[in-house]
Amino acid sequence: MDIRTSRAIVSFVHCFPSSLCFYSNSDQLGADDLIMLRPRSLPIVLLVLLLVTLVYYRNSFYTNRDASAISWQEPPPDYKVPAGFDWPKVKANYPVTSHIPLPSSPAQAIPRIQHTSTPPTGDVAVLRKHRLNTVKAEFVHAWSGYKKHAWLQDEVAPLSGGVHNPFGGWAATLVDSLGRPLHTCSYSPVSLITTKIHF
Amino acid sequence: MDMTEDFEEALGALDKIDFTTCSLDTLNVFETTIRYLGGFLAAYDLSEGKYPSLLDKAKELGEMLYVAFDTPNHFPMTRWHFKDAMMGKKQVAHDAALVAEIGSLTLEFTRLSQITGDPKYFDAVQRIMNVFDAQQDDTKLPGLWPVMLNTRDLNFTADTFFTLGGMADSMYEYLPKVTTSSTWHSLYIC
Repeated sequence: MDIRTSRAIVSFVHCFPSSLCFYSNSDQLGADDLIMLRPRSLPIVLLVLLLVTLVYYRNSFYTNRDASAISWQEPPPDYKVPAGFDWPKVKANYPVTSHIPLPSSPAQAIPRIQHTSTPPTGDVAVLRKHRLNTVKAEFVHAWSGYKKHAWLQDEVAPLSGGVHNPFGGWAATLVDSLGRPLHTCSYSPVSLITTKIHF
Repeated sequence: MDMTEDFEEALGALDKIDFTTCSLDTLNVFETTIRYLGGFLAAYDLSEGKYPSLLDKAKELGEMLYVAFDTPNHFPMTRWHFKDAMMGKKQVAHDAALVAEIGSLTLEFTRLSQITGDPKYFDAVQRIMNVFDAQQDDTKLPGLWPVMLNTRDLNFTADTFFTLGGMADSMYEYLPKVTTSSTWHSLYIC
């Protein structure tokens, strides 16, 4: 059983009020816990076992298919490309002989599905401004943490202050966020996109 | 905090990003595309082309990722042993690839072709979408595509697992975005 499943069980069990408590007050479930069971707890035990089974199989199912699972393997040592290597010069084993051209006709309009909103007034305007500032503050907080603890790394580990490099170690957070300051905060050549978003 | 200053600082750091070193043996082509190529191109567009270094980085990465498409049917490796590719080793597309990883490359590759004028990036992803188009009504849930695609034999109809959530969602997200891709300007810059 993996750690995620164990945690799921523990947190599930913690949901029970103390009168129904049928496990020891440790953070891990073990064989000892079962000794404390009383007959009237049987339906609950069966329910828990059912949930455990479901959680376990759901987790193993997603682990097999999860797109990010492979990324979290321990990264191997850095690899250096031979000097003078140039990707465009790699000779194709299966050369493309003709290219599908970019469409030249204008894109077809698709029907609008969004609600047509009007700029808020009064208390609603104040509330939305508050929400907007909260989002900005969250961005600034996360960005500052990345700069301080993980600059040029893929990700900051928010609790430990450590780093993760699951995306090649090419400063994924930095690159992924490049456009964000432009539309999260004011940036002169670009209109403030956030002024058009109504929360 | 002055975010303009931060943006300029981040731009200055681009030079330090070296695609000739890598923390991984196997590169996830989808993740690399959406995070890095998408990041460079979005910032390039949002700053209205004022920073050529952003496009340079996008082109540099685009050239690298394009080699992942060097397979018999030109479908990309999604989990890419890029070091083998560097050595010229032959590659065959996977017989099991996640639908999101195959179907969510269009936005970045199309935009890269639009900006650079080099059709090869659009060509690479349009070949994929043509297969999506051809097999859309033949899947177990016609109209949708399953999570696992056989990109080696170009069979998108065998898998029985469907979702609009993780492993598939970004593919469906990209469809309307690419459809309106000639209206990029109004899409991103209000």
